Amino acid sequence: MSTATAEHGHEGQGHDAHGHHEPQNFFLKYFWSTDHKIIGMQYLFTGLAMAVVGGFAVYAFRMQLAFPGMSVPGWGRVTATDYNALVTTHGSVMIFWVAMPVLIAALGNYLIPLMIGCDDMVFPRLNRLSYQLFLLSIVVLFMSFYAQGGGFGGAWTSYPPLAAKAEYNLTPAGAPLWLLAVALEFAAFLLGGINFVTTVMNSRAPGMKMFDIPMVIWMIIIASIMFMASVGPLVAGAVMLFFDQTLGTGFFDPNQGGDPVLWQHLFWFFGHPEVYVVLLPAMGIVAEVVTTFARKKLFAYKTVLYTAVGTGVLGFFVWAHHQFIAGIDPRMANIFSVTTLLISIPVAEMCFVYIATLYGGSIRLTTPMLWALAFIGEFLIGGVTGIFLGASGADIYFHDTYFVIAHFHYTFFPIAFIAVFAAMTYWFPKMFGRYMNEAWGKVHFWGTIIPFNFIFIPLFLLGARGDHRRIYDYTHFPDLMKPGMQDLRILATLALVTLLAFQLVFVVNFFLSMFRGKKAEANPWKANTLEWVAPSPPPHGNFPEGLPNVYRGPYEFSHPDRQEDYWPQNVAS
Amino acid sequence: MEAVVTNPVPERRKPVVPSAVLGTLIFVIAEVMFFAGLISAHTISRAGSLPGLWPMPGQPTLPAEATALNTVLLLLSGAVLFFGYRLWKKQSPVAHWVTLAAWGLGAAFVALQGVEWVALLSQGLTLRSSPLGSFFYLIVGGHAVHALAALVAMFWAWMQMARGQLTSGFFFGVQTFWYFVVLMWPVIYARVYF
Amino acid sequence: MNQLVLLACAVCGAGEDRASGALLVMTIIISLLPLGMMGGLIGYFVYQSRKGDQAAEDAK
Repeated sequence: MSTATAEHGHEGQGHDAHGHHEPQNFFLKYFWSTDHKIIGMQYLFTGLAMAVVGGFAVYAFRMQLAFPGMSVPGWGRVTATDYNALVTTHGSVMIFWVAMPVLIAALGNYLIPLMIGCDDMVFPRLNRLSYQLFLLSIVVLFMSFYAQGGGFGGAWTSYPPLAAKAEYNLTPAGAPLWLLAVALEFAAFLLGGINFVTTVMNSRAPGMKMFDIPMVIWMIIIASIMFMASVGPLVAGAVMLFFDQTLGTGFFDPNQGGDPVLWQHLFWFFGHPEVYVVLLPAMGIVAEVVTTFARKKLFAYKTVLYTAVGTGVLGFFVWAHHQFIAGIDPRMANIFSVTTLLISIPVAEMCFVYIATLYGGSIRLTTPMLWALAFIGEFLIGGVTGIFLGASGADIYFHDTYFVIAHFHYTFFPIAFIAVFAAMTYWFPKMFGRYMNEAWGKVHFWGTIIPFNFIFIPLFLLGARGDHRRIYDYTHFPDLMKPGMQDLRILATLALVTLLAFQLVFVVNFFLSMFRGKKAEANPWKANTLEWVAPSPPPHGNFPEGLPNVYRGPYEFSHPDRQEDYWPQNVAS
Repeated sequence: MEAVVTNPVPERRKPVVPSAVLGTLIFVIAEVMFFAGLISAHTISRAGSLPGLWPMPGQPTLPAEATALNTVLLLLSGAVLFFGYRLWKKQSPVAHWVTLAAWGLGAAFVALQGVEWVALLSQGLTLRSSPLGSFFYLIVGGHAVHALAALVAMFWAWMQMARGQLTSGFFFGVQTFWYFVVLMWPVIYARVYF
Repeated sequence: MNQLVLLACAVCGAGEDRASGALLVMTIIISLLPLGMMGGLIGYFVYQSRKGDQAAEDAK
């Protein structure tokens, strides 16, 4: 096999390890493997473990907001410094160490070679290095928590001068370590992204044309390209901020001739495309799940693909909507208002395509389907409230209130959790060769969706009343305490605790099903894409009966000429 | 495992663009964006400063004329490397000497930049003395780091070429990275030194 | 602190047309640059694949 791959212009590296001998040693197999499935699992489990860290942080600071001054079980009294560090940890962990690794790295690594029908990534050793850098970034992040002065407390956006000056943020070691961790994480995803794009372009199964690639793969590719094209200026800004923190330069310090708003431009130049970087894979997951469980062809494959590209292009022209009140030129604010409202069109179009796919389908309400449907519904609420914030006039009022928090959690929670749960319940039989328990899956679904709405609808109401998002203890501002607002905060916090408690159902179901679940066949959902051709779980090299040949697109369900209602991509007729 | 292969391996897709080429190009695009971020930050900071204060009175002006020589050396190095590649493709026996010459020109560029830095530091332009100094050392230093990394890779490629073991994928990666270093420099030179 | 350093303040001229013009120009460049480069790469890819298809047909 190794000679064959070398002949065919593949990068020889790592491929020689395939086929003949699998690593036997536990350490070599699970920690030093170049197999894309193992690396995908490593990213998945690390990402989920980090979700526990992010979830614990939000629990501690929401308890403080609901019951100011109380001793939070498991943490103790939340001081103002703790509060800042917890908010920062929650934001940065959930975005950089949960959403990115799970949606892009874990699913990308696991699914790309399986769904395009090849045995591994093009650069397997680069892939392993990517995960090792990612793990190192987590080690550095944890170091920052225990450094002198505690973890960084400048919010995930890390605005100077708060982030740049130790005399303001009081974390002389935590701030640079946090920045270093983020930089390492970017390096990891840069390597991963190069790998993804190259693999999909060069290793597709024979016969798989551009429009035969499953939508989730396209979405991961477009997201990776967006990430790699936008991350450069942020890394440039991060180096400048790091120099400000450690060497005493003044890039962002007006006292030394610097410009603090410059950081905001460099950060959001990456930060806003990042939103679409995580959105697109989630949209792709929903496309796979909706078509499989509606037993219907995706309503408009090319439209979804082109709107995704359109989202990617427009995504580079919206970033300054985060800075409407940061003193930018009002003429620029006008332009960015228009582009921000425009970008809702392609995103809404994707949602409409999924709804059109459902129309007239034979819908099966399995757990993954419930998650996918919930994604469409909940994400639409997030998108619609975004219109309020995108209009620069309304944003002046809403800026820095809980309305913003509720808006982006209505987009981000569906992306990072609802879509991820859809993906995990959908691909679980493939990953572990066993079914997840449906009944407990549905309990977990309702136990997550209902509290989720009870967390963030109160926050919309609070934000519309002007509740400021950066106030740690409202009892210090009695004249800002309007009647009824504290009740809404308590309601949101109790709903949060309920939501977190229901995640235990998922964890137990996940691990019990992994070892005790009903055995799953190769194609349990009767889906068309190539990963269901491989045995469950797929062995080293993925396709023991030879790499598949592709004859048609991925969504040929309920074809009138066929007896079965599905038509796998690799079946000739 | 080979015994059950029903789909003969020769049917595998022939890459449209070799993987090493595609991977390197994407990496270079990300790197260009890094320098685009630095240069745009420099341009905006500079445009925001009050007239007559960039560079600040009493601080040295950057030696644009002396650096023109370095710029020529670096561009020449890029051209020589391309010539070396053409020779290597024709399996010329002198190809590796031409590649070494390109390496030497690149190394001379880095060395002359180092001499320039020492002179500027002694004249009082430091990382903290002014925004001009901060941006100068950051951008030029960032370029120098890339140049040094590329020189190490190019030396490695030369050693392999001399032994006749150089793979085209690796040489392509080294070349692309070096051309990126070479072509980035005139932009930096035009924006920072003038 | 060095008095001259204060004079080089990057935000002092921020309201002037010169500074906002620079910001606008850099905004345009930095937004179009990644799209242009990625577009170029995709164009190169499509060109190469068309050339490959042509060669395959000529071989037949």
